[in-house]
Amino acid sequence: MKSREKEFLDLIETHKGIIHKISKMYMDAEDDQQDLTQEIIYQLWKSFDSFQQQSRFSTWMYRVALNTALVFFKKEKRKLAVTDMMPEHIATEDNVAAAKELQLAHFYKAVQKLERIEKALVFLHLENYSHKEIGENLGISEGNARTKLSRAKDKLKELIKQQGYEF
Amino acid sequence: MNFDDIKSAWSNDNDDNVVVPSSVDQLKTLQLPVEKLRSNMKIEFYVQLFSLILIGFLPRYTYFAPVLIIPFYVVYFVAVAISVYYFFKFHLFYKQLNTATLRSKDRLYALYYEAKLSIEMYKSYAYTLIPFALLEMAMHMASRQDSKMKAVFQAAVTNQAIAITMVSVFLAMLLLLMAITTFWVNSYYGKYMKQIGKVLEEFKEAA
Repeated sequence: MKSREKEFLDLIETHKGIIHKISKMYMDAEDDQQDLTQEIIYQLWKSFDSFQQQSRFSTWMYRVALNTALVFFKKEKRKLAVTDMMPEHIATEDNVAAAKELQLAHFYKAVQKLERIEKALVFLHLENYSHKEIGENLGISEGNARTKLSRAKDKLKELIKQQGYEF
Repeated sequence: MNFDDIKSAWSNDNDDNVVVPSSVDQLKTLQLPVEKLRSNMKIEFYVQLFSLILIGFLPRYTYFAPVLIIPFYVVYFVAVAISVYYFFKFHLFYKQLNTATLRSKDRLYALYYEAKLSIEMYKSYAYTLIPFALLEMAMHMASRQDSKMKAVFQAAVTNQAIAITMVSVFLAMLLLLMAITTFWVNSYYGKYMKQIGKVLEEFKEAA
């Protein structure tokens, strides 16, 4: 394997959590998530030459991965196999890890109903990006990022409440 | 639950199910609307090229009145020249799609508007070719010795009513073919254009 390719795949392995989260936020069915994962890695590889070593790989990766998710569409023929993402065993257990998993399951279920841009806003917020950085990433002003994020969070809160989960 | 709880759960989310391929050759893609447009464009290019070449041989494998052969090839080469111009434009766009990366938002906007523009250009190309196709067809029909059409064409030269009817039929066919072309382009590319439009709309709203 060429060293450039190996370097790329090693970096992807290190930062695959970003791809995992974006795929789960943007696609509900597992097959679509896998397709999006593939597409993101492919687009990252295609853009890899444009990656400037002076910037952080993860910063660059966020941008390409999010842009890919924004323009990715699921396969038409695939029927929505959205299962209720709340496995029973989670709901009945009450240790901390299970509680976190349940919260996350509610979050991912609710987030599916947001618009594409709103998902990107929430994603970057959860990744601890400032409003300024969010704006830069999405090509909108800092003020606009703040307002839109606040609206997206309110919407998300409402959606989670509708699932019967305390927020 | 609040957003801090989500953040905490989020940072511990397990990413074990992401399988990084052992080689980039294993990556498959064709899920982005631009990639699909690109693949459809490629197929259409070959079909059109093949059709153009085939039409060029029309006087060789069907009977053509010798007097109409030169007009046929004049019309044909004008159509070929127009096609070369459009093919070149499409080639530039195709190349751009191939090298385009999603590294910046600006690039994304540019790419998507470019895609929209290219589809419109493709429609105009198809519309431009229709009158040429009809002319070639008319010449072909007029060439047939046994054809009733020949008599009709001859009658049209002296009879105004027949001439008007013929022009009307020509225009009706023109409109019909334009409608068919629009339907074809919309069904072949429209789906992806709709997806692109949806993304652009969201961007516009967010800006």
